[in-house]
Amino acid sequence: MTDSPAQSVRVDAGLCQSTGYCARIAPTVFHVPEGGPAEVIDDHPAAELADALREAEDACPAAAIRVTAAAR
Amino acid sequence: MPAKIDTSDPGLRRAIEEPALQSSWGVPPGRMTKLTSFAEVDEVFKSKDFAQAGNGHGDSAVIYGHSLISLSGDDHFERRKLESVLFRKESLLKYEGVLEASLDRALERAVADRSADGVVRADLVKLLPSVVLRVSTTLIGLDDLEDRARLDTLQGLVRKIGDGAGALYSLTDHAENIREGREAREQFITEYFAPAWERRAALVAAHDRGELPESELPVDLVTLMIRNKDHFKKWDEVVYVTEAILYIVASSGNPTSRAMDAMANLQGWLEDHPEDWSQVEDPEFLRQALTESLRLKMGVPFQVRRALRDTVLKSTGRRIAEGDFVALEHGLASRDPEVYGSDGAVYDLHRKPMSFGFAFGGGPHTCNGKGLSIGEPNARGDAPLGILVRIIGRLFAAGVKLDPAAAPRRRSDTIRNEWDTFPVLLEKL
Repeated sequence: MTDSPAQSVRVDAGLCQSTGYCARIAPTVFHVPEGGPAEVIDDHPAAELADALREAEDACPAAAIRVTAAAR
Repeated sequence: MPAKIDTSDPGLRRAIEEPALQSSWGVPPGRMTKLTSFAEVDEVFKSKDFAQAGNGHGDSAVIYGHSLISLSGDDHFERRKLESVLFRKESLLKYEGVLEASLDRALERAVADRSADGVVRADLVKLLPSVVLRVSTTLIGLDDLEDRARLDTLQGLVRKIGDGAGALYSLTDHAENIREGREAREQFITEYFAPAWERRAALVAAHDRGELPESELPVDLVTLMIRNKDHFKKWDEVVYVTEAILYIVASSGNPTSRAMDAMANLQGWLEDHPEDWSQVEDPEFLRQALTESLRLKMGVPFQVRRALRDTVLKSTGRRIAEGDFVALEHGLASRDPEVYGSDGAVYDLHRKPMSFGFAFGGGPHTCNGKGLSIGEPNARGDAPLGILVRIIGRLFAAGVKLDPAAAPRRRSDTIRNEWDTFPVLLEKL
């Protein structure tokens, strides 16, 4: 983890289908409790997680994840 | 006033009621439970205690087996992750550009065929599938489809393959559906898939030799499969064709029929709410109109899942034994009064909040064409609008109305919710 987060992450709980795919790809950022929906446990993840976050965003079957560049 | 049409679902329950149809999926007598409430359908779609047992299984295994839609667990996760690149924003925008160009050509042909009375008439069952087919062939990576005859041949093959893959829902001889589907698949392989594969394999080989930069490689399904054989090697090689067939079939009959339903529903709404005509060029209004229509009109009346272990549904306490099947009547669940109120079966563009229910399924098998179809809410700037939003917008801009002299007719050979004819007038062309 770095001290200067490069992105922010949010999950639309209304869309989330609780597949757990996001937590498999980026387990330090997402957690899916039994019955869901997914929770963001690190909403300003480090820059080196950018590729994993994009993969999680892409792979989410419900398109419930949004990763955006954070204001610095 | 133009004619209104009945967009309800007469007779679609037959498939679940008839043991003969159940047995064709391999369901033993008495081992199928019907679920119709939003809560139970939602729970099973999301549950890891149930696996896909409809699409790609039973009758449809011959054509859809081992495709993305048939997989469960780790295999599904890996395949879905792999193919998600095809649905990134930049790809969606590319598909929308292809759609617009294809719509231009289709509407130009309709104008060229103007009737003697000066009115432009079209059958959307003939017009729309070829338009959407150009999108799916771009996604898959099939070539040389500017040739109209070649595109028409492919459209005919896709319908036959789709009927074979959808034998699960057929009201005619399943074995015959599958036989014809397999025949059509062979022609599809020879004339369309194999040339595309060879061309892209040569490009990938050139890239691997350092002779072609990454940016020159196509971003499409065939190229992706060639570059990821490690994932696909655990299945028979036919899986490559099967995967392409899944996408080309999934994007043909169902989305175009849903566009027709949405057009008819919106026309009816505008007749009763003429004040909303001022919004008909607003993509967000069109998206809402599509969303409400999709909730009420789905491609198939149910999905099938099989219990992987003895399970008690948390939402109701219902027990499902290991190995038993459930038919998820997602169409009924999407009208559940507990969620949508006593008027849940009514098309209402004032509904808050608007929801497409289970129109795109749910859980891991949520349709990966959702964003491609309807974009995102309140899309701004260069965000994809969704191809169905664009189609409806173009049709209303062209002055679309149901033809009062020729009512739309449903397909009678399948319980898939598809139209056989859908005649319209395009009064502004």
